[in-house]
Parts: sequence; structure tokens; C-alpha cells
Amino acid sequence: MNTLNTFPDLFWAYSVIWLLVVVYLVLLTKNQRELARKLSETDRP
Amino acid sequence: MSLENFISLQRFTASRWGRFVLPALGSLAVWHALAWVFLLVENEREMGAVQRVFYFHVASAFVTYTLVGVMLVSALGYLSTKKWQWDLVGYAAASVGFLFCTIVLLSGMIWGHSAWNTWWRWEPRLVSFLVLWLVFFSLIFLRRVTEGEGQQANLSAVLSILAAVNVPIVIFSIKLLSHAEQLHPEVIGRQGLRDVSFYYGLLASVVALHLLAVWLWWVKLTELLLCREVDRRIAERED
Repeated sequence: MNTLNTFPDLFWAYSVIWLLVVVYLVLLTKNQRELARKLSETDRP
Repeated sequence: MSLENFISLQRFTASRWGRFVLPALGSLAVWHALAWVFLLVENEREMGAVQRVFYFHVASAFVTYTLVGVMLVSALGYLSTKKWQWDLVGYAAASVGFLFCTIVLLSGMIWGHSAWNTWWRWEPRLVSFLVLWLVFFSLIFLRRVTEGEGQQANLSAVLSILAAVNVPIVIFSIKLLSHAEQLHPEVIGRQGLRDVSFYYGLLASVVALHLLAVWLWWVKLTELLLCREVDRRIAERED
């Protein structure tokens, strides 16, 4: 039976996974907003 | 429905699937998988709590392979028809695939640190997966520094095929050395998941991360379509 506390590594592994997903999504959303703004600018005469 | 009708900015920005259904389904599936993995699956005997990294680590690898499949189909579609829609579908898959490939590498390193007492070991499975990550990285980096839509698409297609060739190498690399000579386990192939709850935890994670990947792919493809439309309008104005 394993007596080591491996919980900290479990915590870091899942933190890294969700941090990467959230950062990726935030960057995508930010880019999309910027592009939507540029698109509306090109609509203006 | 033709490819031109399906891959259009109007369809992607107005679609209820991308804005509501996929995020809702993805979030629900992820919460369900997390609840199963953290609350219902028992601690593994040898490794303890850290073994729970297995579910999202392996599921992320499966998602990466699926996205490489999408990249291969898109590359072949583009090379045979030269339609830009195939290129965008493939590039969006590559972008999301790079994310999941990075997740596999980093979560694997943290798990390895806990289970093997080392962050990295130069053995076939790890090295072949690092090569896959490098192919993803090259695709995204070279695409950014290359100019011209045709050149970018050709480059992406070639690197997508290279990534697809690498996937069977990653899968079968575990057979190259004996189990005594490498640390990476062959869990699924050697019936390592003995409890039904372990299997269900993995299945729930695989389904959840696939749904999440489809949503991210949708968001990325919308961004690429927006970018293309902006470039087109700016070029029209300049003319």
C-alpha cells in the first residue's frame, strides 16, 4: 500500500489542465471580439 | 449539405450549436466526468491519489488522435480539391490538437514525477509523443511566419499528414522495449483497469473531452472565418 501523499501532484496536474483550457478559451474569445470590431469597422463607409 | 454551405461565417456565428448547445453539453459532461473521477472511483492501491490524473491524461491523448484524424481528412480534402474550407477545418483541429497534446505532455510529466520520481525519461512512448507535439508546434509556428493562403494551406496539409503518420508510431512505440526497460505502463492493452468504475471513469472522461474539443474547434473555426472575412474586406477596400 502506498503511504506517500500524492495529492499535491494530483492538484497540480488538474490545475495545469484547466489553466491551459481556460487561457486558450480566453485568448480565442478576445481575438474573436477584436475581429468582430474590425469587421464592423469595415462596414462603415 | 456542401462544404461551402457548412463552413460559412454566417452559419458559424448564428448557430445555436456553437453558442449554447456545445458549451452546455461539454460543461455538463466535464462536471460529470470530474465527479466520477474524484468522488466515485477508489484510490489506486500503488500510486494513491495521483493515479486519478490517468483519466484526463489518457482521454486528452485520445482527443489528440481524433483531431489528428480530422487534420488528415482535411489535408487530403484540401490537396485533392484546393478548397480553402478544408484548410480552415484542418487548421482549427490543429490548434485545438496542440492544446490537448500539451495537456498530455504536462499532465504526464507531473504524474511521472509522482509515480516514477522523474519528470522525463527518454523512452519510446514519451519521445514519439514529444515528436507529435513538435509537429503540432511547427505547423502553428510556420503557418504564422509563412505568407500567402496557398502556401500556408500546403504547409499545413503536409505537416498534418506527418502528424497522422506519427500517431501509429506513438501507439505502438510501447512495444519497442520490454516492460522491464521502460517506465510508461501499457494499461489498456494489458487489462490494467480491473474495476468497472475505472473503465467508466475513463469512458466518461473520453466523452467529456471530445465534447469540449468539438466546442473549442467550433470557436476556433469561427475565429478563422472572421479573420478571413476581415482580410477579404480590407483587400476589397484597398483595390
